[in-house]
Amino acid sequence: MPKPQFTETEQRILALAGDDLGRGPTPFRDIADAVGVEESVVLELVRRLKEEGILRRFGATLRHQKAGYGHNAMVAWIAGDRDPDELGRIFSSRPEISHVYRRRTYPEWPYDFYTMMHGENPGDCARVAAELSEITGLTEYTMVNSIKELKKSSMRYFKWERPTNA
Amino acid sequence: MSYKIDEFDRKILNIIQSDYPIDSRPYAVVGERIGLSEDEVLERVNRLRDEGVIRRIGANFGSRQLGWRSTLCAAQVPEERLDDFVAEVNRHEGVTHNYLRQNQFNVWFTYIGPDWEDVEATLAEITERTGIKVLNLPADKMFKIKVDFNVKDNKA
Repeated sequence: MPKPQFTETEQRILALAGDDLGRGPTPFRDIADAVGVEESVVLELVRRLKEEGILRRFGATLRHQKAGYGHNAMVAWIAGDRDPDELGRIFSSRPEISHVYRRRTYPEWPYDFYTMMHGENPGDCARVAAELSEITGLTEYTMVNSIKELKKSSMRYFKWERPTNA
Repeated sequence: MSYKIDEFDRKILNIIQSDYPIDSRPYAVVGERIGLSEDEVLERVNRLRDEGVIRRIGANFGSRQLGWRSTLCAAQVPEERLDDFVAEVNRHEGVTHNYLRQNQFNVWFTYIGPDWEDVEATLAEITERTGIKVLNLPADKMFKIKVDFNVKDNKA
C-alpha cells in the first residue's frame, strides 16, 4: 500500500482532528478557523478519509473499564497446521472478541494466533476461551491476563503546533 | 465504577463511538435521533468527558492505511528491573499500549513506527539500553479489528 500524501493544510487539519476535539457545539468549524479554511474543507476531508478507510473510525474513544467491560484477556493459541482462514472466521464470529491476529513466533514463544477478549464479569474470558478450544479443537492456548495498564495513548500521526493568537 | 451512566448517556455513547456525525452541528444531529436538544446532548458529552468515561473524541487513523507499521512486543523482565524497563519503553511516542501481564513474558506493549526500519531500530535501542531481549511479534494476517463497544446496562 503506497503512503497517502497530504498537503500542508490537510496535515494541519488532521493534526487537530486526530487530537481531542473541542468542547463546543461546532468542533469542525473550530478546526477550520484554527487552520484558516472553510468548514466545508474540513468536513469533506474527514468524510473522504473515512470513506477510503484511512480514518478507521471517527468519534469517541471510551475507557472500557468505566463502560461496563472491565475484564479483558489476551488469549494466544498454537494453530499448528490448521487452516488459518477457517480459524480466523471462527474466532472473528464471537462478539466477545475484538481483535484476531496471526503473528510471528519464536522458539521460546510458539503461539501464533491471538484473540483479544472482553467480558463483563470475571471468568467470562476463560469460559469463552474454553468454548473456542472445544469448537476449534485447538488445545494448546494460554490466557495472558493483564495485571496493570502501564501506558495507553493515542498515536499522533500528524503534528501541528497551533499558533497562539496575539 | 464511580459515575453511573443513564439510558440517554448510553444512547449517546453508542452513536458517537461509531457513527459520530461529520456535520457542522454534530450534537444537534445526535439529539434529533434520540429526542434531546443540542444543548442537552453537549452537556452530557462534556460531563462524560469530565468523568473520564470518554477518553478522547477525534479521528482514529489506520496505521497500515497511512503506510505506518505496527507490532506487538513481549519481554521477560525481572521484578527488580521492571520500573527502569517500563520507563525506557514508555518514553517512546510510538508505544501506545503497555500492560503488565501474568505470564513468563510479563511486559507486553505495542509499537507504531513510520516504517519497519524504525520499528527494528527502536526495539534494538530498547534492548541496548536495558539489556532485556524484546520479542518482535508483527502480525502477518489480520482477521478482525473492532474498536467500539456496545455500551450496556451496568449491573449494580
